Amino acid sequence: MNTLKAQTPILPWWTAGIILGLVQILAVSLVKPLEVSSIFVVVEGKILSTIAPEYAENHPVMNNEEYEYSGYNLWFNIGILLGACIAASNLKSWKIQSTTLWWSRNHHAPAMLRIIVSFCGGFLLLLGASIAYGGLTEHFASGLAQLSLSAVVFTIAMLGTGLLFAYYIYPTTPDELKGGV
Amino acid sequence: MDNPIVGLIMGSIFGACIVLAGFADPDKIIGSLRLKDFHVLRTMIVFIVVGMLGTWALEQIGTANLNIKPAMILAVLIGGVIFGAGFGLSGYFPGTALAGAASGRIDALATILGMFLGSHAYFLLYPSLIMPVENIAYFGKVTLPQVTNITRTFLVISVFAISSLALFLTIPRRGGKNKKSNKVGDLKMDEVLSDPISPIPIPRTKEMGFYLKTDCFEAAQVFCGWKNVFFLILVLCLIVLQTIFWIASDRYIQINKNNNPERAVVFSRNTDSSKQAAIPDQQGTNLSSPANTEYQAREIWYREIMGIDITISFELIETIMNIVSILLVSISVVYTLTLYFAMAASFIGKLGGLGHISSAFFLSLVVLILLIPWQIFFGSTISGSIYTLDELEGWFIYNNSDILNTSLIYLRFTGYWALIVILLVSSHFYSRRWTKSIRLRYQQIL
Repeated sequence: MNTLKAQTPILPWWTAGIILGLVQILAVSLVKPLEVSSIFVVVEGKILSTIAPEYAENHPVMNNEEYEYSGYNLWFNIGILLGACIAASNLKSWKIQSTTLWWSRNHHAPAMLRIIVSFCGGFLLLLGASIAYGGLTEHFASGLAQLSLSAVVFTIAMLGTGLLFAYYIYPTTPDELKGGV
Repeated sequence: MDNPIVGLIMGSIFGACIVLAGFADPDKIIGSLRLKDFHVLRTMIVFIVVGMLGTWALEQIGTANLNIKPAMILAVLIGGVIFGAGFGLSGYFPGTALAGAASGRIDALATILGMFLGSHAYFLLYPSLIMPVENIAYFGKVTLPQVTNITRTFLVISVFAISSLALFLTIPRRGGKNKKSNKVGDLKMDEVLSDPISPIPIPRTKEMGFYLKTDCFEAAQVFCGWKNVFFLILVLCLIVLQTIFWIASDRYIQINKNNNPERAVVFSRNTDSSKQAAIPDQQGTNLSSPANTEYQAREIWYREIMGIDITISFELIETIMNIVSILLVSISVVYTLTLYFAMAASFIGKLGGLGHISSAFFLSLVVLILLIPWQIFFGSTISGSIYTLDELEGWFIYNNSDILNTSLIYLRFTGYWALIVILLVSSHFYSRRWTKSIRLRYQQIL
């Protein structure tokens, strides 16, 4: 049985922000700004190319050279998995969990429903990121750091919709979080 | 450096930071979207600002590898809305979903599987629905400086200043219920005298201790008010000092790009032609010639903003610099002394928060030491953050030759300044915590 409780991050907000910013600077100086979601499109494209090569050959996006290269990006995402796993293990916070405090306090529904909702959320995440040519890391983090115009538009749209959806889906604040964590 | 090993290492660091920062927990993200928990938002703001500053600095040096996304306004808008819906629904974004899945979260794993399906849907919908939208309101890979004609430097500094102020003003304050209440000490309110004049019931036992505490608290109140004033003055002076550097450096670096030789100003008041022989303008005119000396002596900064010519004379800059430098040294001395006396009052009156005010005092002392222009006394062996215009001129004339020296210039005039600002803000942060501690203790006295 999962014991849900409010968790306090190990790093304070300013320390975490500075460290993440330094990672961004390192990425910009060595390779390119951080990006995460593009590899999903690349991997999916390669899967489709293997399963349906004729379809992939005539597709306008799959032939785009930006969606063909997968070296650095792929290993970057694998690195995220590796680094997160090591960090969670060292912090003794690695635990099988299927739901969240916000979900369980608002919906009193089985964890399976949370998993289905997360699946739908992931579907919308990558569909939106692909249409916008980048997700939160590409636009909000890296794009704003480069002062790109698309990042401003994306941020406004993303935050506005995100706030509305979160307010609609999770209207009640859990008691454990009312004091602030 | 575009190779898998670098990607793996960078990704590992990024993934670990996501977990340590608490981003892998969807409760934190949903709490941020519900505007109940601002940890994620604060962290992201600092992340973006630090990344922005670093990217800008790397761009100045010429080693930035940028990747501007195309501004397909309608497509980005639609994509942002759909992304936001998924964000609000799941409480994850792609990076945190990966980190969450690696931390054992099954809902994060489901999110990742959904993401693959989403990319599949993108491929299916692209030819008929998405491709036509991409060409509507398409502006190419443009940045805000290109669109607004405001320099990147100005935008970066503005965003940094506004974000820093917003974060500083909304620093989370720990509630009383999470903090253990401090015991008052040896004061006991076991007997109360009725005094028709005083509204405060005065305890009979250890009255002198009580008076000492309240007197020290009154003194501490005065120090609290003045340290805030001094801090504000110091911050304003530091901002002015740094602005002068950017005005001078910007003008100087662009010296060879100026199309108007009459306005091509050399940053120098020295009319000695031998010192300025190395700086011709675009048309080959030697600016150290006597015909241009007059302009050199008068103008330091010229720019046309929205059709208005703005010119700042050299003498004005020099005067402002002298005033600011004197203010910085003197006010920082007074600020340090104020914190010292506040520490003394806190110690004598047992007002609490001694650790905080000690830290604040120590940091202010370090700021004072780093501010003083030691180079005036000891030459170039050791230098303080405060610089003179001659020193700035010397750096740009003799050291502006390659990337390393350019980096040293910015390290000396901006990096050093940033260190001072960080220490000063930290000192003020500790002094605010001390203020809260003594107020809490004083309420318990009453």
